Amino acid sequence: MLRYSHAATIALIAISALGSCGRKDDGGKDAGVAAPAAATPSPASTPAVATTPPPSSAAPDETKAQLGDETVGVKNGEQLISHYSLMTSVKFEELDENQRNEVLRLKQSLPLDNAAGKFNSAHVLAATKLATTFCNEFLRREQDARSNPQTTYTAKLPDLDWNSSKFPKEIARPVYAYFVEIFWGVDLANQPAKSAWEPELDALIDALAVPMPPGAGQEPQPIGLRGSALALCVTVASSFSSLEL
Amino acid sequence: MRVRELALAIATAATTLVSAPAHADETSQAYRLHRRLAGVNPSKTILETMKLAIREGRAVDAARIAIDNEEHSFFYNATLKKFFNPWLDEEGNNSIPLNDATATLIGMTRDDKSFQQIFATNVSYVGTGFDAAVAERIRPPEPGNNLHYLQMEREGVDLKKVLTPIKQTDALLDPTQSMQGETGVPAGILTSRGWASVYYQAGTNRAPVRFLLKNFLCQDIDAFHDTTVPDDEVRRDPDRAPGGESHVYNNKCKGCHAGMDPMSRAFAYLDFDDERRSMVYTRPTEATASEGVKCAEGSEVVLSPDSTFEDKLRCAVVKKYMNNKASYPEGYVVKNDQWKNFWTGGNNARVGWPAAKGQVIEGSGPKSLGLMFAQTKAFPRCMAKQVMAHVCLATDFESQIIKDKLDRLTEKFQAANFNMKSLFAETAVMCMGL
Repeated sequence: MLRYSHAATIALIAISALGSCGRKDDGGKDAGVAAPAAATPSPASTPAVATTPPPSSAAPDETKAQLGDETVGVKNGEQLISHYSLMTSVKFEELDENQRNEVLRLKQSLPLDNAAGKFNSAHVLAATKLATTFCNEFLRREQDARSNPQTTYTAKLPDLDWNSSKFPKEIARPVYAYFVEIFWGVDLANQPAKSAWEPELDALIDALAVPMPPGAGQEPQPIGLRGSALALCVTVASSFSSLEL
Repeated sequence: MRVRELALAIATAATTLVSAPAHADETSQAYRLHRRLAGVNPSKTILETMKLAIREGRAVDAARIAIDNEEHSFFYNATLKKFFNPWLDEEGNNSIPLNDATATLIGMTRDDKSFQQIFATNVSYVGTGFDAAVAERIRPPEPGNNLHYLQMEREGVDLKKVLTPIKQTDALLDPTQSMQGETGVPAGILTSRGWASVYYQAGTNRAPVRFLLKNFLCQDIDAFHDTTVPDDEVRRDPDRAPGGESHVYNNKCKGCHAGMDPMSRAFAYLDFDDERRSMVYTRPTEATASEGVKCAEGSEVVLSPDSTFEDKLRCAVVKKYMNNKASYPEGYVVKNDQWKNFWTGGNNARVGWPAAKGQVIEGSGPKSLGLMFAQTKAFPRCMAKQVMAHVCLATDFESQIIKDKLDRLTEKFQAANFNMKSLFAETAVMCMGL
C-alpha cells in the first residue's frame, strides 16, 4: 500500500507538470486559439526531445483550411471514464462498490466540457486518481490471469514476475509500449517519436527503482515491479496525449 | 531532485503533444475523428476501417463508423447527451440527468429523423429491451417522475440499443389522454416532462420563448429588442411605469415584451404541477368541455350553462397568465393558445422567418410555434454552429474561414433533411486535419 502511494506520488508530480505544460502551450487561452506550430523550446537544463517532424510541404491551402486544425480540446469527465474503461477493458459496472463510488466521486472533479482553457490542476489530479483506479484494476486482472487458471480474462501484458523487486528495462519496455499504444494511440503525427518517449519512461523506471527513504525503524524498500507498472500506467494514462480530445 | 528532473523531462516531451501539425496523415485523421465524435480512442479494427475509408476519400463514412461504432455507444451515451443537455437547463449546464427530452433528441438523432420535427412530433423515447438483471432495476416511464431515465443512466445502459419511440399520447405517458386528438400538441420536446420541468415550472411561461430563441436560433432575447412593435398584446403583469418612469417601460421593457408576450400564449394550457411533478395540459376538447370544465385557479371566467366553448377555453388558461394582473389591468388578457409573432420586421427579419418581412405569423399551441422556429433560416445555422463548437471546439465565429464553413455545413444540414447525425459527421470531417 505504502509502495503504491510512493509510485502514485511520483506519477502525480510528473503528471502535474505535464498538465501545466499543456496549458502553457495553449497560451492560457480558450480552446480554439491557435497553438504554436512548434514545440516550446526546452530549457537548457532539460534533455532535448526529438519529435516527429511535420511533412515538409508548403503551408496548407487557405481554401482547404480545416476547422480545429489548431484547436486543442480535453476529454470531459464522462469521456475520461469511458476512455479509461475502454482502454483497460475494465467496465464501470465490473468495478467493486468502493471503486465505483470512487469513480463517481472523482467525476465531480473532472472537466465538465472540452475546453482546454478551462482545464486546471484539479482536473489533472482527478484524472490521475481516476487512471489509478482503472490501472490498478487492470493490473490486478493481469496478475490474476497468470495465477488463476479459471479466469476467462486474456492477459494483454507479457508474463511478469509480479512480486519482483526489480523491473529491468527490457521487461518494462513492452509494458509501457502497451500503455502508450492504448492511451495515446500509435503512428500519430502529433505524437512524439518513440525515441523521445522511451528514454523518458526508462528514466521514470530508474527513478522508481531508488529505494524509498526509510521511516523510523524501517528498511528502505524499492517500489518493485507491481508499483512501477502502476506508476507507468498512471503516468501514460494521465499525460496530455491521453487526456487530449 | 531526481523526481523533479524526471517530471520535467516527461513534461517537456509532452509539450509537443498539444501542437497539432498543419498536416495530418490518415491515422491521425482517424484518431481525431473518433476522439471528437466518441470521446475515446478507436480500437485497432475500427481504426483500420476508418483509415481505409479516409484513404478512399470517404471521410464522412469514416466519421459515421465512429458514430455508429459497433463496439460501444459513446457517441450517443456521452457526446450527444452532453450536446443536448444545455438545451434542457436554464443555466446551460451540460451535466444534468438524462430525461425524456434528451433521450428523445438522442433517439431522433440515432434514427436519422429530421430535426425540424423536434417540436412537432408525437414521440417520446423510452428504454426497452434491457438485460434481465438490469431490467429489474429500471422502472417504467411515469409522467410524475424521471426515475426511468435516471436509472437507465445509473446502469450505464447502451442508449443506442435501448431507446425506443412511443407516442406521447400513449396512456403510459399521458394517462388522462389530455393531448389525444389535439392539433396544438403533442409538440415533441416542448411537451416532454424534461422541458416542462424546466420551462413551465412556476414563472409566466415566457421562459420557453426565450430559450427557444437562445438555444435554437442562437440569439438571446436581447437581440430581438424592438420598441417599434406595438405593445397592445403585452400582458397585464409588466409594470408600464417601473419606479414611476414610463420611459423605462417604453424604451426597455416594451422592446422585449411586445414580441415575447404574444408568442408565449402558445403555452397557455401548459404548466408543470409541482405537487404531482408532472406536466399538465389543460385545454378542453369539445367533448370534455361538454362534461364541464374546471377553471384554472384565479380564472376570471365564471362558467354557466350558457357559456360558450371560447369561455371554456379561456377558463382553462393556466393561472400564471393571470399573475399580477392588477399591475396594468388594461393589458392583454390571454384567452386561449393563439399566438402571434410580431418580430418578423426590421432587424429581426434577419432570422429568416417563414413569412414575408414584416408579415405577422400566427398559430395555435406550441406545435405550430415550434415548427415556425424550425422553419427559420437561423435554425439550421444555429444547429451547425453549436455542433461546430462542440466537435471542432470552434470559438471564433467572426473568422471568415469559420463563417464559410458554417455556411457550407448549414446547407448540407438542410440538404440532408436536418439530419443531426449527418451534421456531426460532416462537422467532424471539417476538423480532422488535412
